[in-house]
Amino acid sequence: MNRIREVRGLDDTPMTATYLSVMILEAAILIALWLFGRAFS
Amino acid sequence: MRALDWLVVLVWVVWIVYDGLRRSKGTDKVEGYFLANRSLPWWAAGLSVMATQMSAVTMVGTTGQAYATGLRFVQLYFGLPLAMIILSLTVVPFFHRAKVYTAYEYLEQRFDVRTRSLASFLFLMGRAFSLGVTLAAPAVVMSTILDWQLPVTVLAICVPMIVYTTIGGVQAVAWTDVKQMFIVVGGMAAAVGILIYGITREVSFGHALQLAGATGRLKAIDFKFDVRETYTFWSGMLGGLFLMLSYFGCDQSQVQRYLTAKSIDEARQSLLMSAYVKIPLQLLILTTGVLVFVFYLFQTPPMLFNRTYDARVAASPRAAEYASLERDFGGAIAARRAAAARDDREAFLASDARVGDIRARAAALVKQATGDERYNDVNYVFPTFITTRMPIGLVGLMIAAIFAAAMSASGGELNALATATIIDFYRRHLVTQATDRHYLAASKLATISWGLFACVVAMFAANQGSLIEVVNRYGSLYYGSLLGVFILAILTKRATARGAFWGMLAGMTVVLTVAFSPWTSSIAFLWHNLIGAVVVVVVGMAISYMQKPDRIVATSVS
Repeated sequence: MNRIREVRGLDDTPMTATYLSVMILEAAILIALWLFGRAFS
Repeated sequence: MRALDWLVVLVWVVWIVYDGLRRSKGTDKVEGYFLANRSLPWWAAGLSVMATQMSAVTMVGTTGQAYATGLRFVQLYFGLPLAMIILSLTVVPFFHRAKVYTAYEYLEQRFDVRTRSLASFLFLMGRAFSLGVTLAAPAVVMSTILDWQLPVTVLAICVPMIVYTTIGGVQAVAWTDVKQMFIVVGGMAAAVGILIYGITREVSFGHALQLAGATGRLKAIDFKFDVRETYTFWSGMLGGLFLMLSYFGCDQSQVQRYLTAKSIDEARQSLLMSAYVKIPLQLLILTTGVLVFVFYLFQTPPMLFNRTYDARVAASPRAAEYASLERDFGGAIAARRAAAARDDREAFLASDARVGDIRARAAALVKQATGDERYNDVNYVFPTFITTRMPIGLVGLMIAAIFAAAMSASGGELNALATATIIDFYRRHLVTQATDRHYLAASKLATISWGLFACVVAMFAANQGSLIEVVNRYGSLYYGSLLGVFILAILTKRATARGAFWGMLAGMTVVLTVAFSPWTSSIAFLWHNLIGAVVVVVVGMAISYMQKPDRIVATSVS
């Protein structure tokens, strides 16, 4: 891990968990919007 | 507008201008003026990214569109979260490590000066006109409310904005953006509260949602694949993805926001803030528009919200016909209200269709009677609600929010136009060896010049249909081509300077042909971004493979 940080630089860290949480949140919003639209159509 | 409302507007405008100037320390050098010495925290850069995109156009145009068509506009943003992730992984580290002032500067490092200059020129032309439209939205609002001439309103918005942007540079812009986001979100939340209060005095909130849903306004997602439809799930996920990649990755007005961040990680976080918040925020704004529609089911709305031509129509030979339409409208509104109250779905939908038909006939009559083919009603819906239905004090808050949104979003664009002009053209081609002080003075002059140009454009853009669409349509003509050349630069090793340059020209040519040819003009504008990017990559790679590689280059893939 230290080697990776050395190569990438201290201010360039992997943010995989953040990216995943973004995608999960979007999927949840899309599903909620779809259900909402169906419930009130 | 009462005295208290005016006071709120005045205090707000004076404060943001004063505070913008106060925070402009370190702007006595070009890097401080354009990049805040790369010192801003991620949250300030992130709010600035959002505020630059969410201008007064969003508040006025989007609410009006939601009033007319419902939540479906939100689909435009479905590609945004993925776009932010892709950009965080690709262009953000590249731009930061390259220590560039503009995105296009990187294209010279990767290809040649010709490609850089063409890309920057495309940005300057597109963004200058978009800036005019961004300014026109609040000018429309203020002109209607204050009964001012449009040029006076445009100048009232432009002058303070040009002053703090010219003097304070990017720091003044960024800190103004931060404040803008708070007042805009607060203002919209207050509007939603007032609307829900007004609606629930007539019917339950559940019943209100049923009524909005019956007209299709709560159907946010449309899975139909039709390239002629502007807002569908697929146009948002694909066309919207490319639009957002282009806008946030290749448009200097956005790239400059995250170049001000302290580090690569902070720049990423500033972009990812939009990935989390943008769709919910758009839903808040669109919901406001839908609630205005429901509110007017139980209150009598004007037949047309845009009353600009009332006097001219009344004095025209069509006056009697217009008066007859108004009588019919009154009857249709009464029938719709009665049907809504007794929950008679069939009668409600029939009378709502009749209301829509009368409104369309009235708008057509106004166009014929006045000869103004660009007459539109959409952008006047929310301002009319604000001034006629919101309580004293809150009217001032909302107007201040629209005012602030216009100034800070425009400030970011203006700052970016000056940056590209000075860094990509003046310092690169015209005066290559001068002092930092000289370039700083030139930067301030460029800021003033672009500000005045945008004012002129704003005066002509005020009545061009739905303003939010106008901005996106302008952008979509060149965004895809810009994105294509950055894809070649960052994701491929084999692309050559010649391939990138001619690929970009080919992309622009194809997109303009598709947009204006009678055979293909029905293709929705979001797809122009995808088409432009694909053409640039295909043509650029084809030409590149026909010649020897330029040199060994590093890409984000490597």
